[in-house]
Amino acid sequence: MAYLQRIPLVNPNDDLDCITEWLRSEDEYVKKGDTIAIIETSKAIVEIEAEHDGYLILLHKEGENVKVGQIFAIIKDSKEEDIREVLNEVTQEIKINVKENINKKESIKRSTKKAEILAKRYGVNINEIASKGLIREKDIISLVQKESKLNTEDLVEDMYPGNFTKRILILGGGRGATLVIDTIFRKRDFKIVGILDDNPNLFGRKIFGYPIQGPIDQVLEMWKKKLFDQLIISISSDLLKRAQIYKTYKKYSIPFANVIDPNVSIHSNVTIGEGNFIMSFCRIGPCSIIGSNNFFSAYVNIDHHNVVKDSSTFGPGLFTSSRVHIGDCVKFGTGVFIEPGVRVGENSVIASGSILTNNIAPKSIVKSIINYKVRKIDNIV
Amino acid sequence: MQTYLKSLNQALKDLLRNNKDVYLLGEDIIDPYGGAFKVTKGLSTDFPNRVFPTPISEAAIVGIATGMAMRGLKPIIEIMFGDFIMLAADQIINHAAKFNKMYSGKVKVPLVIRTPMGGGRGYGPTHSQSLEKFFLGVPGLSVVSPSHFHNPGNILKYAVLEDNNPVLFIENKRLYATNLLVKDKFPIKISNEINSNSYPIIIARNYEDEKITPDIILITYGGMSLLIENIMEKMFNEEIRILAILPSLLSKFPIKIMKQIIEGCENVLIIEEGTEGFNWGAEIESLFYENFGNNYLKIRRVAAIATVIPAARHLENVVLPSVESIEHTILEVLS
Amino acid sequence: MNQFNNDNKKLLLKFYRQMFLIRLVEEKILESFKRGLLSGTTHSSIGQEACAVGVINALNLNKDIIFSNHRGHGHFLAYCEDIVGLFSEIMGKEIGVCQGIGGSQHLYKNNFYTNGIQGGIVPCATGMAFAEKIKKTEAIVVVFLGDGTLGQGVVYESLNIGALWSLPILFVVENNHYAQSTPTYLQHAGNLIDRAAAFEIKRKELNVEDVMDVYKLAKNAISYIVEQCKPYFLLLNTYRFAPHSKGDDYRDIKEISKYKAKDPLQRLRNKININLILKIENDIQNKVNNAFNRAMKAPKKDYLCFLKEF
Repeated sequence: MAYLQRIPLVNPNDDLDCITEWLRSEDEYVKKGDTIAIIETSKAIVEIEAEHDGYLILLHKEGENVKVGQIFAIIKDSKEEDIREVLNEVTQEIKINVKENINKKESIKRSTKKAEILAKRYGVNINEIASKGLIREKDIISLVQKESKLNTEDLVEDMYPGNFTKRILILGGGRGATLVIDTIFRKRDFKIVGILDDNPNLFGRKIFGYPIQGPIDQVLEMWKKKLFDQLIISISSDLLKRAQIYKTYKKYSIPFANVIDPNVSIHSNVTIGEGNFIMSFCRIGPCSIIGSNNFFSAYVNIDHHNVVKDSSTFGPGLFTSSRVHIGDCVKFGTGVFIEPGVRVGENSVIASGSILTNNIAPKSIVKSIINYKVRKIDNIV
Repeated sequence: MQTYLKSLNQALKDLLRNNKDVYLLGEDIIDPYGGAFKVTKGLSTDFPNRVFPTPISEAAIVGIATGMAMRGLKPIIEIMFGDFIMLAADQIINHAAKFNKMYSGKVKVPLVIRTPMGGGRGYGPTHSQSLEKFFLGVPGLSVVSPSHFHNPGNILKYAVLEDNNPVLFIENKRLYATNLLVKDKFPIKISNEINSNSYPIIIARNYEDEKITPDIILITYGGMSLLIENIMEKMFNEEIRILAILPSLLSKFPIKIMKQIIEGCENVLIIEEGTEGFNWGAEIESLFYENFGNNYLKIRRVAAIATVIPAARHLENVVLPSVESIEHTILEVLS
Repeated sequence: MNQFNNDNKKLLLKFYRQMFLIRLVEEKILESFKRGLLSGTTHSSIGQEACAVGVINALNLNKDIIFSNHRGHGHFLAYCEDIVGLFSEIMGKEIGVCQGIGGSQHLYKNNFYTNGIQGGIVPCATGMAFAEKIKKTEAIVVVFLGDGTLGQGVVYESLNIGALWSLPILFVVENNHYAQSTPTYLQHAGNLIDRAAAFEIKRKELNVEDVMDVYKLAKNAISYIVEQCKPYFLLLNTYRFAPHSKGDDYRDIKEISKYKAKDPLQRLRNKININLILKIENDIQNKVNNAFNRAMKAPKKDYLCFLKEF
């Protein structure tokens, strides 16, 4: 007689258990109640006892997963007993179980579900993608980006004929570029195509994800290739460079953009040229005229009936009063106050904290008296 | 590694030891039986004058505990199966939940009713339900349901010692034997805990960088955390980024806090084991639309089909939410 | 003997005071409803005053607990005589015992509670008795039921546990023979007193005609409860003269008259010197009028405060 021993149901939620250890060996004589194996369920380690006296036949190896209810050992009355027929039946049953398990296993994945979703969303035929391993999200995204790089113009024109977001190229890859990009993010009125800077150490580096692609004179080549619509100069410290770049490319009639923060207040009857960068909380009062290529830091108030010419830079917190006239290429520090009617001559430098009450001649350097020590503190009480 | 059950058992032990006003009442809770789900095992032996077995009188048990709470004690009662809570519905809704406000705030009812809800064991239509939805929206009643992402013992202690409202503390049968997900378990990262001093809300992600917007947000509670753990692992392999929000307090939802958590992601899936229609998910979904109403919010709910929960396992799997049904809905939302 | 007579006399005067107070307040309330001065519902205990006064005066009011029901005004007044608090509560005023939020059926003061769900109060009261036993305060709980309440299952669950756990609780059933509009014989099988017998709870039944009888019986019951720490079931057969709430009375007028002739209030009145009676009645009349006027003038609870607090 051959007795079939099956994996018992220990946890109602379990389907497969693992035989972790055989405690007896093949053909060993066991008595009913002897522990013969240890199995691991999802919740606990359980010892299996022999249900009959007899000689043990092991049907699985240690470490194998066996289905609950499956026959995993046979106990036969005598050593010589022929159990081939029984073994045959048992093997049939095991084969069926194994087949079931294989069918349960997922067919080999070609791609992640995320990749499938993105492919559908962007109209990419995922079956046409040749790949060595699993097709992943990044594969789809890079494919989409590559495709868009090639056909951007056509794509944009097809979708929005006549009125599409202008592509802007930023000249100057220093901190000014960060400010310009940040302002563009806030208003989203341009599409940034890249940054140029003369410092070769910066080539390939990125600001907010946008790469510095080459030296500033690459502008002409890019303009010929129609890779951008407008320019903006982000340089703020070197006024001469700023003015010079502007003059250079104006010769080729390349348009410059005004990049203006969304919370800037521009009042009635104001004229603004091109290439101006105006940061947040600035104000341009009524009937003022702003030229081109000026750099306004935050909180600059150009009051009413002012005239600002070209290529000047303003530090944060500058306040003009009415009828102020500022010439070309004037550099202002921070916290400068200008009384009404004052004329500031071109190419001047006005230091931080200055209060201008009289006209300033061209090419002047105006310094204010600051950091005046009154006396030393003797005793600290 | 502590199981959900052990955490509760230990918490009850600590409560009995450290607070002389805590008393336990329930059917079959004394040793050697120690409760139908063994949550109270060992307690009557250690604290013989504090643990009382009761006759089969759910309504009276809840009422008696209400009276005890009104007179300054801190009773914790066990209703053996969540399905039986309906026998005590009048006591909970018309008495325990109302005394404080009805008596203009002069009487407190610090009562805790613990009960296991949930199916998945083939116990059939009257022993597998999740009925907490019928007690949501009862003014004056806190409904709490910790998952295995939480520490249920700590939450129980808070409910008993700090919450002066009567508390319906919903446990889950499938969670009892589950190990608590204490810290990160790849690929799941438990990134923060809101309200950690009272009823914590767990935020978990199946991706590393918190700054990346998830693809979909799952909001759920209680026993569904088992499915969520499974789903998050599965979806990790499919590169679908999930942010899971698991509150422990069901009767209030801090929708304003959700704003910065869900920033940027517009797909939300709300999952619960109770039946579909007029449920917890309906309230959460309304709160989202009312507070963040925009055209891009895509919210779906997954719940049990509105029928009896069959005893036959393969039918039960179809009625209750499953890993498959949740996965299917996620893919539907994202496509 | 004299001392006993004096004490007895004092007690009778007190009983008359309280019973008359209850009668007057309840009549005032019904009248005010008729005149449209009050809104909501009320359940008057006119005719049942002896039950309230007899039982509650047997308690130790410093610590004993009372859980009453929808027909709780009499119990409330016997407990604390807070006439202003009661009127204001029914009128929805802020100085009401629950600031007007509970109203007639949901009163709370010190150790006095009521709720409006038939039978639902019984397990609560049982639990309170359990708590007092645990805390060893030697306080007892009295819970007032009606005959109709004995239809509710949870009452029997509480009788069972009260007896099983030996709790210091006095169940007082005021059997006025009607559950709202339904007479007792259409409500209950068997005898009402035998219900206590099923749980082996000590019990006594009394036809209430004299408040002194109620008092003595209650006193016995309470000493039993305090000494033995076991429950007691008191069945008081009484009668209400007014409708269940207002205007819903279809009972036979002859029957009502028959019971009115045996009014315990009148019976006690006849026992006391008429001058003392008139003095008490005058005093109570003034008190009730003043209290009513004060309640009428009092402000309602500000609804914004209510929203904030609740």
